[in-house]
Amino acid sequence: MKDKVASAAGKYIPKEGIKGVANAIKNKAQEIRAARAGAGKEDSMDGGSEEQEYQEVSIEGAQGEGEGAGKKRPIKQMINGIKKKIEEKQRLKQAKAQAALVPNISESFLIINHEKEESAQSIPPPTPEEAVNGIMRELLSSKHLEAQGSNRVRDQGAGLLRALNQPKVDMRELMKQCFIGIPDEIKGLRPLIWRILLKYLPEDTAQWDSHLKSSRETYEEWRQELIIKPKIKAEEEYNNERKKVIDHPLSTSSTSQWNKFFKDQDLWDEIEKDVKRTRTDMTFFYKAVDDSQNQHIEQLMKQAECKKAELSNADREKYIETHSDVLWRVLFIYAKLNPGVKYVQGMNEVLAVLYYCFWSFSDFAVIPRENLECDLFFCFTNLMTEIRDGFIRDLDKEESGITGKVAIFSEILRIVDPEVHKNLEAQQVNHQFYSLRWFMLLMCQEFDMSNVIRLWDTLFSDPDRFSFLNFICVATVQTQREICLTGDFADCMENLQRATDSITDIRVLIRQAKNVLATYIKMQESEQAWDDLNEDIQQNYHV
Amino acid sequence: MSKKQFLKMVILGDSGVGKTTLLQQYVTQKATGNSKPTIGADFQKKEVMVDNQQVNLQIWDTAGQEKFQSLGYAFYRGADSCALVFDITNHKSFENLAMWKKGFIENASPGDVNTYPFVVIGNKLDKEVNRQVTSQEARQWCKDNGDIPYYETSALENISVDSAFLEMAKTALKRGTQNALFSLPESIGGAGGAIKLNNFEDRGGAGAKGGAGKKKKNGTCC
Repeated sequence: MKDKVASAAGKYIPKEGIKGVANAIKNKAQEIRAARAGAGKEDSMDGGSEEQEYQEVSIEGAQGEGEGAGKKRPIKQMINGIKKKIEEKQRLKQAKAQAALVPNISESFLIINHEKEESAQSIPPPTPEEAVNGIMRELLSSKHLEAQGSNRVRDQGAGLLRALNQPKVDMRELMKQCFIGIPDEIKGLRPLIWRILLKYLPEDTAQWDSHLKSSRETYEEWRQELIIKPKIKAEEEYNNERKKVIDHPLSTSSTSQWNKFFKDQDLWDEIEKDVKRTRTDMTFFYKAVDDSQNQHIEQLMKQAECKKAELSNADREKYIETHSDVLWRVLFIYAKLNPGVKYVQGMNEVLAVLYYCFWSFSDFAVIPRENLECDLFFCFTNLMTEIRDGFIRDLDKEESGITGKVAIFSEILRIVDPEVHKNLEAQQVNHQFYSLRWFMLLMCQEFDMSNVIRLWDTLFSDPDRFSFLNFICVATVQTQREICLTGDFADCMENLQRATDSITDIRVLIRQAKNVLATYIKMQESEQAWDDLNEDIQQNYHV
Repeated sequence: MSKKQFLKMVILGDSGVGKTTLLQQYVTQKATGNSKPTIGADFQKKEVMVDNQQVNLQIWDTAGQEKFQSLGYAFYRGADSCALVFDITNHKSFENLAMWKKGFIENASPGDVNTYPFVVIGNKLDKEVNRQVTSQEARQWCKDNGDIPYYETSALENISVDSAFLEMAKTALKRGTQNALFSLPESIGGAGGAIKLNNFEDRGGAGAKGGAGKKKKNGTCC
């Protein structure tokens, strides 16, 4: 806290204390004179550090001395000038802070601070007759809601259905209700809401049905162009080639012949390698998409254990499509359509969460199953649009890239928990060392699937996506606070990298993150209060 | 007055060659063989005895994919030893060793390259049937690259994993002594631990590199 005060004070009050203010104001006056002299010249306020800014202005002041000196101005005018200058500075500072950190913080805070409430009188959800479109009609006809024993779930579910069943989705209400977690119990609800939150389904509910249809057509076209046709061609070529070499005595030596003819083989291989090790904590992704095929356990085991190209011809012919094949295909199409991003490790993890959500919380009567892969693709693409800068190597050092994201987080950590921040800096723990994965993957590699899905309900409902993630990360660091306060580099690193292992219920962490946010806002306010105080001191001292 | 030694090691190599599993096996004596792709880098520490001396190893397991390389440089800095890993069933991963070595040398500024303690590890010995890189071929490459020690391991079945890491520690210690290695107490050594005179700056730079270290001090000092 002392540090905080000192640093806030340091901005406007020189080291010598209040007395120094007079000097500071003299300098300010010089600046204004200089600014007047060099009219039209703009102070380059953004970009440089405060010290730099100050220096630049002073140099200008020195140059402008000749012209500016001699002309006497009334003191009031001068004060107004100072006021203006301070206002300008504050405005810039605020703009900077807002752009970099948490804009609409008060708006966000309302949504974030919304708690589940049990109202005395439940308002029933809309009836199927009142449905705004076919999707809502199915959802409102399902019995999941009525079957709920818990009033809370029923009320929240009804609230969500009301927010959805509008000509234009009530986004604010939707986010408010989803921030606290979408109820698992109402089948089909979460996949629908994620489609909306990820800006795939439009807010205009009348468009939903046609939107699903046209998206499906578009996706099918891409799939034909990028996968089906090249595959048929490759197979033909392979078969022709095989006829030719079949008598060759050494023809059995290569197991990857089939794949050799596959266009984009490297990309397929690269993706397959990671898809095979996606969410190995679950059996889900090795299972057949068509449930009736899941009895062929032996075949499925073989498929899981080696690459497609390494399977024997017999096994390849019996190939059963698994959930991981869907991931594989979507990632491939994404990489082909986004050559600037391509495939980067970690995308598999992000996609797996969306896929699992769409699959296991779905009610295929609400949104048909044939839309699943297409919707998955578009939702993934939209989500990537928001987070892809973290995946692009060329942007690593940019503000929007991973370094920029981590820098903002580090700044919030400094404000909220200066002691921890100080020790980590002293131990040269680059915050990127432990938090890179958290920011790149929205923490999806840190928890089991159900916790990740619950966390993403919250992250997706953040009106200023993904600011709240910063507070989740600070809260995560604080689970290791003791070590971070005193530990050396190795202790801090080891514990921070495994910080999430000890978290079994994500809701506890989310609650903690809300506390962190509240602290942050308080600190920001006190910083503002200090600035105001400084302004007062400056004015009063002079007048 | 016992002095602790610190050694920083990095493990490099293509994606999927088994870097994470190697480290997992070495540090925890367990390996599941289905580790996730490493995003960024992972850090582990281990205390070992080398020639009756207690040594604290800080081992960085890096991501294999190209995207993470520019971030990886921060991890390379000041490394005392480097393992170059390939998969014996994947020839391409062997061919890429040269690239990994070059990238390391360019970014870690390891001083005299010829005496730098590299170790080459050919992993996945448990998949001998699918071998694409012969031992002879690998040994020849090591010989041509300044007599780098070569180990064939199975991270999954714990074959030769310990000896490969021990070799790294030994050669690093030996070289450290030759380079006038100053052993500092833990409290002073901090992140760097043992600080070599000749690359003191490199270690200092590592912390500040990611931007976080550069963050403005907000006027706490003049």
